Amino acid sequence: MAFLQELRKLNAFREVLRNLVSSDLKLRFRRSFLGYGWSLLYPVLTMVILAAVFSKIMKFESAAEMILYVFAGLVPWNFFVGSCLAGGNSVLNNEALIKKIYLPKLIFPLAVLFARFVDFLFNLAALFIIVSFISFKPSWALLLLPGATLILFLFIEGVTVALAAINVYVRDAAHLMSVIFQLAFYATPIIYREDILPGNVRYLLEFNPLVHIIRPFHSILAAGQAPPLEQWGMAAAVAAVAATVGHWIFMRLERNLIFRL
Amino acid sequence: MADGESYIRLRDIGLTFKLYANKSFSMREMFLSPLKHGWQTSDFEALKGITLDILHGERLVLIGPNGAGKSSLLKIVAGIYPPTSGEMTLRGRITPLIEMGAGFNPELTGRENVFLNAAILGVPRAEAQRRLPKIMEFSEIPPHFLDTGIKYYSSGMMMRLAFSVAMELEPQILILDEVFASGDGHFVEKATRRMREFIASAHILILVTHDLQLARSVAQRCIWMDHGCVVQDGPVGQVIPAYEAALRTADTQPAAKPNA
Repeated sequence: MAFLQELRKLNAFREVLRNLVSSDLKLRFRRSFLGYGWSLLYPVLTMVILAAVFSKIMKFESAAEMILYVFAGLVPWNFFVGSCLAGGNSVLNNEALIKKIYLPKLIFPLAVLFARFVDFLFNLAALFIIVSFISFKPSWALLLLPGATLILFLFIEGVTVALAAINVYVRDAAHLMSVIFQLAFYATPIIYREDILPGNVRYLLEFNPLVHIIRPFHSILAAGQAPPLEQWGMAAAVAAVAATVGHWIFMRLERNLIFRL
Repeated sequence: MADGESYIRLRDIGLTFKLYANKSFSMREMFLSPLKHGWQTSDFEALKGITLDILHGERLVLIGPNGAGKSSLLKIVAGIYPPTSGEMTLRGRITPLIEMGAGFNPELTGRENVFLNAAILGVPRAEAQRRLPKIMEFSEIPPHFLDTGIKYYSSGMMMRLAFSVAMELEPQILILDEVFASGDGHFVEKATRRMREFIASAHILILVTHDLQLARSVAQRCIWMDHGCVVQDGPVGQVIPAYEAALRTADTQPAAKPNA
Protein backbone atom coordinates (compact mmCIF):
# COMPACT_ATOMS: atom_id res chain seq x y z
CA MET A 1 0.00 0.00 0.00
CA ALA A 2 2.56 2.51 1.15
CA PHE A 3 4.75 1.37 -1.68
CA LEU A 4 2.03 1.95 -4.27
CA GLN A 5 1.49 5.43 -2.92
CA GLU A 6 5.20 6.04 -3.27
CA LEU A 7 5.03 4.95 -6.90
CA ARG A 8 2.12 7.26 -7.63
CA LYS A 9 4.02 10.20 -6.17
CA LEU A 10 7.02 9.31 -8.29
CA ASN A 11 4.92 9.12 -11.41
CA ALA A 12 3.73 12.68 -10.85
CA PHE A 13 7.33 13.81 -10.72
CA ARG A 14 8.74 11.68 -13.53
CA GLU A 15 9.53 14.80 -15.54
CA VAL A 16 11.81 16.02 -12.75
CA LEU A 17 13.44 12.62 -12.57
CA ARG A 18 14.10 12.66 -16.31
CA ASN A 19 15.58 16.12 -16.09
CA LEU A 20 17.85 15.16 -13.21
CA VAL A 21 19.08 12.07 -15.03
CA SER A 22 19.82 13.93 -18.23
CA SER A 23 21.60 16.77 -16.47
CA ASP A 24 23.69 14.28 -14.53
CA LEU A 25 24.75 12.60 -17.76
CA LYS A 26 25.35 15.85 -19.60
CA LEU A 27 27.31 17.57 -16.89
CA ARG A 28 29.83 14.92 -16.08
CA PHE A 29 31.64 15.13 -19.37
CA ARG A 30 30.65 18.61 -20.50
CA ARG A 31 33.63 20.63 -21.70
CA SER A 32 35.87 17.60 -21.75
CA PHE A 33 37.34 16.91 -25.17
CA LEU A 34 36.32 13.27 -25.32
CA GLY A 35 32.95 13.91 -23.73
CA TYR A 36 30.94 10.75 -23.41
CA GLY A 37 33.84 8.83 -24.90
CA TRP A 38 35.18 8.76 -21.37
CA SER A 39 32.51 6.37 -20.25
CA LEU A 40 33.77 3.92 -22.89
CA LEU A 41 37.41 4.67 -22.27
CA TYR A 42 37.35 4.62 -18.49
CA PRO A 43 36.53 0.91 -18.05
CA VAL A 44 38.92 -0.02 -20.84
CA LEU A 45 41.80 1.81 -19.22
CA THR A 46 41.01 0.42 -15.78
CA MET A 47 40.95 -2.97 -17.40
CA VAL A 48 44.32 -2.52 -19.05
CA ILE A 49 45.87 -1.47 -15.74
CA LEU A 50 44.39 -4.41 -13.89
CA ALA A 51 45.43 -6.83 -16.62
CA ALA A 52 48.99 -5.51 -16.59
CA VAL A 53 49.25 -5.75 -12.83
CA PHE A 54 47.44 -8.96 -12.09
CA SER A 55 47.57 -11.30 -15.08
CA LYS A 56 50.75 -13.02 -13.81
CA ILE A 57 49.71 -13.21 -10.19
CA MET A 58 46.20 -14.46 -10.70
CA LYS A 59 47.01 -17.55 -12.73
CA PHE A 60 44.76 -17.06 -15.72
CA GLU A 61 45.42 -19.33 -18.68
CA SER A 62 45.66 -16.53 -21.21
CA ALA A 63 45.51 -12.76 -21.32
CA ALA A 64 42.34 -12.97 -23.41
CA GLU A 65 40.63 -15.14 -20.86
CA MET A 66 41.71 -12.83 -18.08
CA ILE A 67 40.42 -9.75 -19.85
CA LEU A 68 37.06 -11.31 -20.50
CA TYR A 69 36.70 -12.48 -16.93
CA VAL A 70 37.79 -9.25 -15.25
CA PHE A 71 35.65 -7.17 -17.53
CA ALA A 72 32.58 -9.31 -16.86
CA GLY A 73 32.94 -8.62 -13.13
CA LEU A 74 34.18 -5.07 -13.32
CA VAL A 75 31.30 -3.67 -15.35
CA PRO A 76 28.59 -4.60 -12.81
CA TRP A 77 30.95 -3.64 -9.98
CA ASN A 78 31.45 -0.13 -11.38
CA PHE A 79 27.69 0.30 -11.65
CA PHE A 80 27.33 -0.77 -8.02
CA VAL A 81 29.99 1.51 -6.57
CA GLY A 82 29.13 4.47 -8.77
CA SER A 83 25.48 4.34 -7.84
CA CYS A 84 26.03 3.74 -4.13
CA LEU A 85 28.60 6.47 -3.61
CA ALA A 86 26.88 9.20 -5.63
CA GLY A 87 23.37 8.03 -4.77
CA GLY A 88 24.25 7.85 -1.11
CA ASN A 89 25.08 11.54 -1.12
CA SER A 90 22.23 12.54 -3.42
CA VAL A 91 19.78 13.69 -0.77
CA LEU A 92 22.49 15.63 1.07
CA ASN A 93 23.64 17.27 -2.15
CA ASN A 94 20.15 18.49 -2.95
CA GLU A 95 19.56 19.99 0.47
CA ALA A 96 19.04 23.49 -0.92
CA LEU A 97 16.29 22.29 -3.23
CA ILE A 98 14.62 19.99 -0.72
CA LYS A 99 14.25 22.84 1.75
CA LYS A 100 12.49 25.09 -0.71
CA ILE A 101 10.09 22.93 -2.58
CA TYR A 102 8.32 19.65 -2.09
CA LEU A 103 9.77 16.80 -4.11
CA PRO A 104 9.58 13.11 -3.25
CA LYS A 105 13.06 12.48 -1.86
CA LEU A 106 13.23 9.15 -3.64
CA ILE A 107 13.84 10.84 -6.97
CA PHE A 108 17.33 11.95 -5.93
CA PRO A 109 18.85 8.49 -5.44
CA LEU A 110 16.83 7.17 -8.37
CA ALA A 111 18.20 9.87 -10.68
CA VAL A 112 21.73 8.79 -9.81
CA LEU A 113 20.79 5.14 -10.23
CA PHE A 114 19.41 5.68 -13.73
CA ALA A 115 22.37 7.82 -14.80
CA ARG A 116 24.80 5.17 -13.61
CA PHE A 117 22.69 2.56 -15.39
CA VAL A 118 23.24 4.40 -18.66
CA ASP A 119 26.97 4.33 -17.91
CA PHE A 120 26.67 0.62 -17.27
CA LEU A 121 25.18 0.11 -20.72
CA PHE A 122 28.05 2.08 -22.27
CA ASN A 123 30.51 -0.03 -20.31
CA LEU A 124 28.88 -3.18 -21.63
CA ALA A 125 29.22 -1.79 -25.14
CA ALA A 126 32.92 -1.16 -24.49
CA LEU A 127 33.21 -4.72 -23.26
CA PHE A 128 31.76 -6.10 -26.47
CA ILE A 129 33.98 -3.92 -28.64
CA ILE A 130 37.13 -4.99 -26.82
CA VAL A 131 36.15 -8.58 -26.68
CA SER A 132 35.31 -8.80 -30.35
CA PHE A 133 38.93 -7.84 -31.06
CA ILE A 134 40.31 -10.63 -28.92
CA SER A 135 38.33 -13.79 -29.08
CA PHE A 136 34.65 -13.50 -29.19
CA LYS A 137 32.53 -16.54 -29.64
CA PRO A 138 28.95 -15.34 -29.43
CA SER A 139 26.87 -17.75 -27.42
CA TRP A 140 23.18 -18.14 -26.81
CA ALA A 141 23.89 -17.43 -23.16
CA LEU A 142 24.12 -13.73 -24.05
CA LEU A 143 20.33 -13.71 -24.38
CA LEU A 144 20.21 -14.12 -20.60
CA LEU A 145 22.15 -10.92 -20.00
CA PRO A 146 18.98 -8.80 -19.49
CA GLY A 147 17.96 -11.17 -16.68
CA ALA A 148 21.27 -10.78 -14.87
CA THR A 149 21.08 -7.02 -15.45
CA LEU A 150 17.60 -6.77 -13.98
CA ILE A 151 18.75 -8.58 -10.84
CA LEU A 152 21.81 -6.35 -10.59
CA PHE A 153 19.66 -3.26 -11.02
CA LEU A 154 17.25 -4.28 -8.25
CA PHE A 155 20.09 -5.02 -5.86
CA ILE A 156 21.83 -1.71 -6.51
CA GLU A 157 18.56 0.18 -6.24
CA GLY A 158 17.93 -1.20 -2.76
CA VAL A 159 21.41 -0.36 -1.47
CA THR A 160 21.51 3.09 -3.08
CA VAL A 161 18.12 4.14 -1.76
CA ALA A 162 18.93 2.97 1.77
CA LEU A 163 22.29 4.76 1.78
CA ALA A 164 20.70 7.99 0.53
CA ALA A 165 18.55 8.13 3.67
CA ILE A 166 21.08 6.73 6.13
CA ASN A 167 23.79 9.18 5.09
CA VAL A 168 21.61 12.08 6.17
CA TYR A 169 21.28 10.68 9.68
CA VAL A 170 24.79 9.35 10.08
CA ARG A 171 27.27 11.54 8.27
CA ASP A 172 30.09 9.10 8.93
CA ALA A 173 28.43 6.63 6.61
CA ALA A 174 29.78 8.29 3.47
CA HIS A 175 33.36 7.98 4.64
CA LEU A 176 32.84 4.49 5.94
CA MET A 177 31.32 3.42 2.64
CA SER A 178 34.35 4.18 0.53
CA VAL A 179 36.46 2.05 2.85
CA ILE A 180 33.92 -0.76 2.83
CA PHE A 181 33.77 -0.68 -0.96
CA GLN A 182 37.53 -1.04 -1.18
CA LEU A 183 37.37 -4.05 1.08
CA ALA A 184 34.43 -5.47 -0.86
CA PHE A 185 36.30 -5.10 -4.13
CA TYR A 186 38.95 -7.53 -2.93
CA ALA A 187 36.45 -9.72 -1.13
CA THR A 188 34.59 -10.28 -4.38
CA PRO A 189 36.07 -12.38 -7.17
CA ILE A 190 36.59 -9.72 -9.84
CA ILE A 191 40.33 -9.58 -10.40
CA TYR A 192 40.77 -13.20 -9.32
CA ARG A 193 38.78 -16.33 -9.85
CA GLU A 194 36.90 -18.11 -7.12
CA ASP A 195 38.91 -21.27 -7.60
CA ILE A 196 42.24 -19.70 -6.64
CA LEU A 197 40.96 -19.43 -3.08
CA PRO A 198 41.73 -22.39 -0.82
CA GLY A 199 38.66 -24.45 -0.01
CA ASN A 200 38.55 -23.50 3.67
CA VAL A 201 38.24 -19.82 2.76
CA ARG A 202 36.12 -20.12 -0.33
CA TYR A 203 32.87 -20.84 1.53
CA LEU A 204 33.12 -17.34 3.02
CA LEU A 205 32.26 -15.95 -0.40
CA GLU A 206 28.73 -17.24 0.07
CA PHE A 207 28.18 -14.56 2.73
CA ASN A 208 29.07 -11.77 0.33
CA PRO A 209 25.87 -10.70 -1.43
CA LEU A 210 27.85 -9.17 -4.30
CA VAL A 211 29.30 -12.54 -5.16
CA HIS A 212 25.82 -13.89 -5.88
CA ILE A 213 24.90 -10.85 -7.94
CA ILE A 214 28.04 -10.95 -10.10
CA ARG A 215 28.21 -14.73 -10.63
CA PRO A 216 25.62 -14.76 -13.45
CA PHE A 217 27.71 -12.14 -15.29
CA HIS A 218 30.76 -14.34 -15.03
CA SER A 219 28.80 -17.32 -16.31
CA ILE A 220 27.24 -15.49 -19.23
CA LEU A 221 30.05 -13.20 -20.34
CA ALA A 222 33.23 -15.01 -19.37
CA ALA A 223 32.28 -18.67 -19.53
CA GLY A 224 29.67 -18.27 -22.24
CA GLN A 225 27.27 -20.53 -20.40
CA ALA A 226 23.78 -20.15 -19.06
CA PRO A 227 23.96 -19.71 -15.27
CA PRO A 228 22.68 -22.77 -13.40
CA LEU A 229 19.29 -22.50 -11.76
CA GLU A 230 20.59 -22.21 -8.20
CA GLN A 231 22.77 -19.29 -9.29
CA TRP A 232 19.71 -17.47 -10.60
CA GLY A 233 17.80 -18.34 -7.46
CA MET A 234 20.42 -16.99 -5.08
CA ALA A 235 21.01 -13.83 -7.11
CA ALA A 236 17.30 -13.08 -7.38
CA ALA A 237 16.78 -13.73 -3.66
CA VAL A 238 19.64 -11.45 -2.65
CA ALA A 239 18.37 -8.68 -4.96
CA ALA A 240 14.79 -9.01 -3.70
CA VAL A 241 15.93 -8.75 -0.08
CA ALA A 242 18.14 -5.74 -0.85
CA ALA A 243 15.36 -3.92 -2.72
CA THR A 244 12.74 -4.64 -0.05
CA VAL A 245 14.91 -3.76 2.92
CA GLY A 246 16.36 -0.71 1.13
CA HIS A 247 12.96 0.75 0.34
CA TRP A 248 11.67 -0.09 3.79
CA ILE A 249 14.57 1.80 5.39
CA PHE A 250 14.04 4.72 3.07
CA MET A 251 10.32 4.94 3.76
CA ARG A 252 10.94 4.79 7.50
CA LEU A 253 13.44 7.62 7.38
CA GLU A 254 11.96 9.76 4.60
CA ARG A 255 9.33 11.64 6.59
CA ASN A 256 11.78 13.26 8.96
CA LEU A 257 14.72 13.62 6.57
CA ILE A 258 13.96 17.30 6.14
CA PHE A 259 14.56 17.95 9.83
CA ARG A 260 17.98 16.33 9.73
CA LEU A 261 19.43 18.15 6.73
CA MET B 1 -17.23 22.62 -2.16
CA ALA B 2 -17.74 22.95 -5.90
CA ASP B 3 -15.74 20.85 -8.32
CA GLY B 4 -12.35 22.19 -9.41
CA GLU B 5 -12.17 24.65 -6.56
CA SER B 6 -9.01 24.73 -4.54
CA TYR B 7 -9.00 24.77 -0.77
CA ILE B 8 -6.67 24.29 2.16
CA ARG B 9 -7.91 22.96 5.48
CA LEU B 10 -5.64 22.88 8.48
CA ARG B 11 -6.78 21.20 11.67
CA ASP B 12 -4.83 21.67 14.88
CA ILE B 13 -1.47 21.71 13.09
CA GLY B 14 1.55 21.52 15.35
CA LEU B 15 5.17 21.58 14.31
CA THR B 16 7.90 20.76 16.78
CA PHE B 17 11.55 20.90 15.88
CA LYS B 18 13.92 18.71 17.77
CA LEU B 19 17.02 20.74 18.23
CA TYR B 20 20.03 18.50 18.16
CA ALA B 21 23.32 19.81 19.40
CA ASN B 22 24.47 18.77 15.97
CA LYS B 23 21.73 17.86 13.49
CA SER B 24 23.15 14.61 12.33
CA PHE B 25 24.95 12.77 15.01
CA SER B 26 28.29 11.29 14.18
CA MET B 27 29.00 7.75 15.21
CA ARG B 28 30.97 8.99 18.16
CA GLU B 29 27.94 10.76 19.53
CA MET B 30 25.73 7.85 18.64
CA PHE B 31 27.68 5.61 20.94
CA LEU B 32 28.85 8.04 23.57
CA SER B 33 26.09 10.54 24.14
CA PRO B 34 23.39 8.18 25.47
CA LEU B 35 25.95 7.12 28.07
CA LYS B 36 26.93 10.63 28.96
CA HIS B 37 23.73 12.57 29.05
CA GLY B 38 21.03 10.87 27.01
CA TRP B 39 20.01 12.19 23.62
CA GLN B 40 20.86 15.82 23.61
CA THR B 41 17.73 17.31 22.20
CA SER B 42 15.49 20.11 23.18
CA ASP B 43 12.15 20.80 21.58
CA PHE B 44 11.09 23.95 19.90
CA GLU B 45 7.44 24.45 19.08
CA ALA B 46 7.32 26.43 15.84
CA LEU B 47 3.56 26.03 15.39
CA LYS B 48 0.99 25.37 18.08
CA GLY B 49 -2.42 24.04 17.12
CA ILE B 50 -3.09 26.06 13.99
CA THR B 51 -6.62 25.62 12.63
CA LEU B 52 -7.46 27.44 9.43
CA ASP B 53 -9.67 27.19 6.39
CA ILE B 54 -8.51 28.90 3.25
CA LEU B 55 -11.07 28.89 0.47
CA HIS B 56 -11.03 29.27 -3.27
CA GLY B 57 -10.46 32.88 -4.28
CA GLU B 58 -8.92 34.01 -1.02
CA ARG B 59 -5.92 36.32 -0.96
CA LEU B 60 -4.20 35.80 2.34
CA VAL B 61 -1.25 37.55 3.88
CA LEU B 62 0.70 36.35 6.92
CA ILE B 63 2.32 38.98 9.09
CA GLY B 64 4.13 38.91 12.39
CA PRO B 65 7.55 39.35 13.96
CA ASN B 66 10.51 37.17 13.03
CA GLY B 67 10.21 33.70 14.47
CA ALA B 68 6.43 33.87 14.63
CA GLY B 69 6.06 30.73 12.54
CA LYS B 70 4.99 32.33 9.24
CA SER B 71 7.55 30.55 7.11
CA SER B 72 7.01 27.28 8.96
CA LEU B 73 3.31 27.47 8.20
CA LEU B 74 4.11 28.18 4.56
CA LYS B 75 6.38 25.16 4.42
CA ILE B 76 3.72 22.96 5.99
CA VAL B 77 1.22 24.01 3.33
CA ALA B 78 3.82 23.50 0.60
CA GLY B 79 4.44 19.97 1.86
CA ILE B 80 8.09 20.66 2.67
CA TYR B 81 7.63 19.99 6.38
CA PRO B 82 5.40 17.16 7.56
CA PRO B 83 3.33 18.43 10.52
CA THR B 84 4.20 16.90 13.89
CA SER B 85 0.53 16.77 14.82
CA GLY B 86 -2.79 17.68 13.29
CA GLU B 87 -4.16 17.19 9.83
CA MET B 88 -4.03 19.02 6.55
CA THR B 89 -6.19 18.43 3.52
CA LEU B 90 -5.93 20.43 0.37
CA ARG B 91 -6.93 20.44 -3.24
CA GLY B 92 -5.12 22.26 -6.01
CA ARG B 93 -1.64 22.31 -7.46
CA ILE B 94 0.75 24.15 -5.20
CA THR B 95 3.30 26.54 -6.64
CA PRO B 96 5.66 27.46 -3.83
CA LEU B 97 7.92 30.41 -4.65
CA ILE B 98 9.87 30.44 -1.44
CA GLU B 99 13.07 31.43 -3.13
CA MET B 100 13.76 32.61 -6.65
CA GLY B 101 15.25 29.93 -8.84
CA ALA B 102 15.37 27.32 -6.10
CA GLY B 103 15.73 24.57 -8.67
CA PHE B 104 18.41 26.21 -10.78
CA ASN B 105 21.58 24.28 -11.40
CA PRO B 106 24.44 26.71 -12.13
CA GLU B 107 26.16 24.22 -14.41
CA LEU B 108 23.23 23.85 -16.77
CA THR B 109 22.42 26.28 -19.56
CA GLY B 110 19.57 28.76 -19.43
CA ARG B 111 17.43 26.57 -21.65
CA GLU B 112 18.09 23.42 -19.63
CA ASN B 113 17.32 25.26 -16.42
CA VAL B 114 14.01 26.48 -17.78
CA PHE B 115 13.00 22.88 -18.39
CA LEU B 116 14.32 21.65 -15.06
CA ASN B 117 12.64 24.41 -13.11
CA ALA B 118 9.40 23.99 -15.01
CA ALA B 119 9.43 20.27 -14.25
CA ILE B 120 10.04 20.92 -10.56
CA LEU B 121 7.07 23.28 -10.54
CA GLY B 122 4.94 20.66 -12.25
CA VAL B 123 4.90 21.78 -15.89
CA PRO B 124 5.36 19.08 -18.54
CA ARG B 125 8.20 19.45 -21.01
CA ALA B 126 6.00 20.01 -24.05
CA GLU B 127 4.27 22.89 -22.36
CA ALA B 128 7.55 24.38 -21.17
CA GLN B 129 8.83 24.11 -24.75
CA ARG B 130 5.79 25.98 -25.98
CA ARG B 131 6.28 28.73 -23.43
CA LEU B 132 10.02 29.05 -23.85
CA PRO B 133 9.88 31.99 -26.34
CA LYS B 134 7.61 33.96 -24.05
CA ILE B 135 9.78 33.20 -21.04
CA MET B 136 12.92 34.34 -22.85
CA GLU B 137 11.25 37.44 -24.18
CA PHE B 138 9.96 38.48 -20.79
CA SER B 139 13.29 37.83 -19.11
CA GLU B 140 15.08 40.08 -21.65
CA ILE B 141 18.01 37.69 -21.74
CA PRO B 142 19.93 37.99 -25.04
CA PRO B 143 19.18 34.90 -27.20
CA HIS B 144 22.81 33.85 -27.44
CA PHE B 145 22.86 33.41 -23.67
CA LEU B 146 20.17 30.77 -23.89
CA ASP B 147 22.72 28.00 -24.37
CA THR B 148 25.29 29.35 -21.95
CA GLY B 149 25.70 27.92 -18.45
CA ILE B 150 23.87 30.13 -16.00
CA LYS B 151 26.90 30.31 -13.78
CA TYR B 152 28.07 32.89 -16.33
CA TYR B 153 24.90 34.93 -15.94
CA SER B 154 24.86 38.08 -13.91
CA SER B 155 22.77 37.80 -10.76
CA GLY B 156 20.23 40.12 -12.37
CA MET B 157 19.92 37.87 -15.41
CA MET B 158 19.48 34.83 -13.23
CA MET B 159 16.82 36.56 -11.17
CA ARG B 160 14.95 37.65 -14.30
CA LEU B 161 15.05 34.16 -15.74
CA ALA B 162 13.79 32.60 -12.51
CA PHE B 163 11.01 35.16 -12.27
CA SER B 164 9.99 34.68 -15.89
CA VAL B 165 9.78 30.90 -15.55
CA ALA B 166 7.66 31.19 -12.42
CA MET B 167 5.33 33.76 -13.98
CA GLU B 168 4.58 31.52 -16.95
CA LEU B 169 3.00 28.94 -14.70
CA GLU B 170 -0.69 28.83 -14.04
CA PRO B 171 -0.69 28.50 -10.30
CA GLN B 172 -3.67 27.19 -8.41
CA ILE B 173 -2.34 27.61 -4.91
CA LEU B 174 0.37 30.23 -4.97
CA ILE B 175 2.75 30.51 -2.03
CA LEU B 176 5.05 33.52 -1.92
CA ASP B 177 7.71 34.23 0.66
CA GLU B 178 8.87 37.75 -0.06
CA VAL B 179 10.43 36.86 -3.35
CA PHE B 180 10.14 40.36 -4.73
CA ALA B 181 13.87 40.52 -5.20
CA SER B 182 16.32 42.90 -6.78
CA GLY B 183 16.79 43.84 -10.42
CA ASP B 184 17.03 47.06 -12.32
CA GLY B 185 14.24 49.57 -11.94
CA HIS B 186 12.79 48.93 -15.36
CA PHE B 187 12.45 45.21 -14.75
CA VAL B 188 11.06 45.60 -11.25
CA GLU B 189 8.26 47.77 -12.60
CA LYS B 190 7.48 45.27 -15.34
CA ALA B 191 7.74 42.40 -12.87
CA THR B 192 5.41 44.03 -10.38
CA ARG B 193 2.80 44.47 -13.08
CA ARG B 194 3.19 40.83 -14.17
CA MET B 195 3.11 39.74 -10.57
CA ARG B 196 -0.31 41.30 -10.06
CA GLU B 197 -1.74 39.51 -13.09
CA PHE B 198 -0.12 36.33 -11.86
CA ILE B 199 -1.59 36.71 -8.39
CA ALA B 200 -4.98 37.54 -9.87
CA SER B 201 -5.05 34.28 -11.82
CA ALA B 202 -4.26 32.07 -8.82
CA HIS B 203 -7.07 30.29 -7.01
CA ILE B 204 -5.49 30.93 -3.64
CA LEU B 205 -2.66 33.20 -2.65
CA ILE B 206 -0.69 32.97 0.56
CA LEU B 207 1.91 35.66 0.99
CA VAL B 208 4.40 36.20 3.78
CA THR B 209 5.70 39.72 3.99
CA HIS B 210 6.90 42.44 6.32
CA ASP B 211 5.81 45.06 3.81
CA LEU B 212 2.42 46.09 5.19
CA GLN B 213 1.82 48.40 2.23
CA LEU B 214 2.15 45.46 -0.12
CA ALA B 215 0.01 43.31 2.18
CA ARG B 216 -2.80 45.85 2.01
CA SER B 217 -2.67 46.12 -1.75
CA VAL B 218 -2.78 42.41 -2.69
CA ALA B 219 -4.66 40.68 0.11
CA GLN B 220 -8.09 40.86 1.63
CA ARG B 221 -7.53 38.54 4.54
CA CYS B 222 -4.72 38.92 7.02
CA ILE B 223 -3.41 36.57 9.67
CA TRP B 224 -1.19 37.97 12.39
CA MET B 225 1.00 35.32 13.94
CA ASP B 226 3.23 35.33 16.97
CA HIS B 227 5.07 32.54 18.80
CA GLY B 228 3.50 29.84 16.64
CA CYS B 229 -0.08 30.93 17.24
CA VAL B 230 -2.64 32.95 15.35
CA VAL B 231 -3.10 36.25 17.19
CA GLN B 232 -5.73 37.70 14.88
CA ASP B 233 -7.41 36.57 11.71
CA GLY B 234 -9.61 38.93 9.74
CA PRO B 235 -9.86 41.51 6.96
CA VAL B 236 -6.62 43.41 6.26
CA GLY B 237 -8.29 46.70 7.20
CA GLN B 238 -8.80 45.39 10.71
CA VAL B 239 -5.79 43.21 11.47
CA ILE B 240 -3.04 45.40 10.06
CA PRO B 241 -3.95 48.48 12.15
CA ALA B 242 -4.10 46.27 15.24
CA TYR B 243 -0.68 44.84 14.41
CA GLU B 244 0.75 48.30 13.81
CA ALA B 245 -0.65 49.46 17.13
CA ALA B 246 0.96 46.51 18.87
CA LEU B 247 4.28 47.28 17.19
CA ARG B 248 4.09 50.86 18.45
CA THR B 249 3.42 49.79 22.02
CA ALA B 250 6.27 47.32 21.83
CA ASP B 251 8.52 50.13 20.60
CA THR B 252 7.65 52.46 23.44
CA GLN B 253 7.86 49.76 26.12
CA PRO B 254 10.68 47.50 24.96
CA ALA B 255 11.03 45.86 28.36
CA ALA B 256 7.46 44.55 28.34
CA LYS B 257 8.01 42.10 25.50
CA PRO B 258 11.68 41.35 25.24
CA ASN B 259 11.60 38.72 22.51
CA ALA B 260 8.86 40.01 20.25
